[in-house]
Amino acid sequence: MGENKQIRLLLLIFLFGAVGFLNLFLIQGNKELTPIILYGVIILLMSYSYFIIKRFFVDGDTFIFMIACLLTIIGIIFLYRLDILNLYLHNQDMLANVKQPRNITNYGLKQLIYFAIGITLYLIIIIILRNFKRLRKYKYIYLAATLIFMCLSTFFGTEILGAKNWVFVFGYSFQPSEFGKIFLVLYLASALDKYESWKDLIEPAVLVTISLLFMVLQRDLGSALIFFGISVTMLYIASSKFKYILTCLVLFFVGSFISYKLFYHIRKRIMIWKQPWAYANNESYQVVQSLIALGEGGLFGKGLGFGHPEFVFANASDFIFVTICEDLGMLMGFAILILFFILFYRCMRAALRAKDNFSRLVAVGYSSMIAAQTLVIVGGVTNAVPLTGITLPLISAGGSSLIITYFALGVIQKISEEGKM
Amino acid sequence: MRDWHKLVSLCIRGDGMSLASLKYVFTIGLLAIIYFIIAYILKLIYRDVKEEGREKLPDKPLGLEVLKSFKEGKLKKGSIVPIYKETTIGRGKDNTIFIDDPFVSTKHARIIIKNNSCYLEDRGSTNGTLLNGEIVTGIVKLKRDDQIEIGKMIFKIIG
Repeated sequence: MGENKQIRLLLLIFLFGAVGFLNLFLIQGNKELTPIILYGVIILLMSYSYFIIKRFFVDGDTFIFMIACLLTIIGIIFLYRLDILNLYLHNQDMLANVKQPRNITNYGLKQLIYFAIGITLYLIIIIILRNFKRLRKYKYIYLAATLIFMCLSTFFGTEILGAKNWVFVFGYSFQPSEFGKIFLVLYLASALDKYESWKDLIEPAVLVTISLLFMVLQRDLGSALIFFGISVTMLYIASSKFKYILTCLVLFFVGSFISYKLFYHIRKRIMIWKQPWAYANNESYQVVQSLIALGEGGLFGKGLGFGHPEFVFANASDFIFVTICEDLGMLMGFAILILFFILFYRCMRAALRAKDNFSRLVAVGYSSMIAAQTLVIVGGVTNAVPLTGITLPLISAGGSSLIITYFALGVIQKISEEGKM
Repeated sequence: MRDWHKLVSLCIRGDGMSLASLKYVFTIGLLAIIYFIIAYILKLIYRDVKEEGREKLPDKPLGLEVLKSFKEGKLKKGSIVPIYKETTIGRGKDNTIFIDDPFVSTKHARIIIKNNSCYLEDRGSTNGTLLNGEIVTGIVKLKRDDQIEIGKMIFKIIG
């Protein structure tokens, strides 16, 4: 593939960013240069990383990097758009002497910092990991790390928005289950690497069950769903036996039925999913507002900065897809889904071409992690599946999620390099 | 520029509607660019898939020169073997370079080209591989004029 063509693609991505940030600069109503500065830093970061990848790691897959950066740029554009909105609302409230004015947010700048950390991590992985296969030896380290991260928020967690999945350390908050995911994939890959009979599956099955139990206890149903998706996909790739998948699905349905009977919050989610309009002012307020916003946006949207995401709950994290669809329409939503699909295809391609089983399983695990997360949250906000609060990878505000996704993509990039050997 | 900015921010606050149509320009622009990017990526990927089968040769082709050989055969002293993406050395007949020497293991070593540089890996041989007189463990990077010693054979990297 010609290098010129790739640089042209990079320039197109820069052009997209330029139009988006120019739009933000014009709608913010003051002459602050923040959007221009954000754009400049993004360009510098992307060009530098592209230069490193192209100069020293020719064999790797550049599409993964390009698409991930494009999605992050879309995310930062919309997060800064929400900052503008929140500042405006704050000023309105101050003028009206409201007792508790709505908060000023700083999503855009924070996301840029996380993007910088993520991309640095991505480059460090590509540079440092010389021989990826060697990592398969540390199976029990991954096992311990998974267990620690899974149970961390059950014991030290703080409850935010009904799910007890945040941990505060020295003023910084993070979601341990995000880090747990990374280690779960590494553990499953090293455990299923030498799969021979069903006896090899007992240990991973126990760990996955424990993790799922912790997730249900923390009421983090979205993460539980994703863990299940990742484990089943990796099991199928490792064993290629359909009867295991069938067993897993049966167990999944039994487990969901039991938890449906046991926990009130699961019953509530299902109730909202089945009849969102019946409880529009109470339980299903969030989903109904999101559906209204999606309908308002229509096919072409109301224009960047002209929608009303202030009515949508968690508009920067879980519901950011709705914010995007309201402003730029379903067409932008489809574009994002297509981009995620191409990203998934490139990641799976790296897995297909990997020479050893461990690398293949890790690549499959991480790419199914990203795909499952996208499907669960996009399905959730459009009420196609019961809504569970998780982030849209690469786009939602949130440091843990963004950094973890870049880590996973870095590993896949490294594996894609090995594949050409 | 300053007046224009004021005008645009006015129209966005709803005070002046004359320039509100600017938002359509931005929406159409953003959508057009993103779909163009998608089409472009698909085109590049298509080209990539089509060229899959073809072996890409490294920018600077490398070769192995036999410096010392233990018997006259195909691999006699002074002969040159080109290095491809993966060159394996050993006593087994399926190796790229096959040496019929009892001191050489069946799967002895291999030379890989990755990211335009050349690496030597010892594949768990019994008697080891020497690079410039030192035993190789794991994967090491090769430079030009490095000498590789396997059994009684000595190779030199040329390029």
